[in-house]
Amino acid sequence: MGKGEVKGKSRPAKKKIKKTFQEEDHLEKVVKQVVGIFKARQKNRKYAPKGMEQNKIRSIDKSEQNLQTELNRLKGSSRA
Amino acid sequence: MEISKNEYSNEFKKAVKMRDNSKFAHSIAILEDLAKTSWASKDLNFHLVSGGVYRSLNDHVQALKCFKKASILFPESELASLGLYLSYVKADKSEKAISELKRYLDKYPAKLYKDTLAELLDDFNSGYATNFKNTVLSLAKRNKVVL
Repeated sequence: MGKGEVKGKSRPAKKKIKKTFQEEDHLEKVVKQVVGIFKARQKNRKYAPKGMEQNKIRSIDKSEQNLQTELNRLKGSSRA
Repeated sequence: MEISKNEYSNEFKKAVKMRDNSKFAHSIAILEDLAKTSWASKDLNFHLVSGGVYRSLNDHVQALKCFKKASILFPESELASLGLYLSYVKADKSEKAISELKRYLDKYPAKLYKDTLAELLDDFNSGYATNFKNTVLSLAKRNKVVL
């Protein structure tokens, strides 16, 4: 067996190992992402409004601010 | 009680000045007197200012009455509509609030209501106001409101 033949055989094996490690890394990342999404969904479900609460309007801060600002601008009567 | 246009105008300005100085009780006393005049019923600003002062006094029932009157007499007023919308929300009447929002936005474009629509879209993401999702999504789309 010549020198060149040994090299020729070992090269693909090294590449395969490297590729396997990369795949494992990628899989690990994907699993972490999936677990993260799952946990976030669980948290959302835990704090999500239930029953009648679901039909309520909750966020009005900016609307309130807009109303107050515009009302404060009114200085005189509009028709008189 | 009938007073001249000028007297009405001066008294109204006095009430606004009291409001600006955070003397809400004094302001509302003047406004309640003016409410008996014929000038007041025709005056959009009168209803709006009265609604605002009642809000400052945490009297949301009276505020609702003022904004409702303003919305009926001046359906094109976005400020009156927004005041009524918020009064309904405060009174825990979300369906009526959405009806008022829809009444206005079906006829007129959103200016002040743009922020309100954005807030409602935000509510959906947190699982609130889900009953009104379709109505609000179509109004938001028409008024180019995105979250």
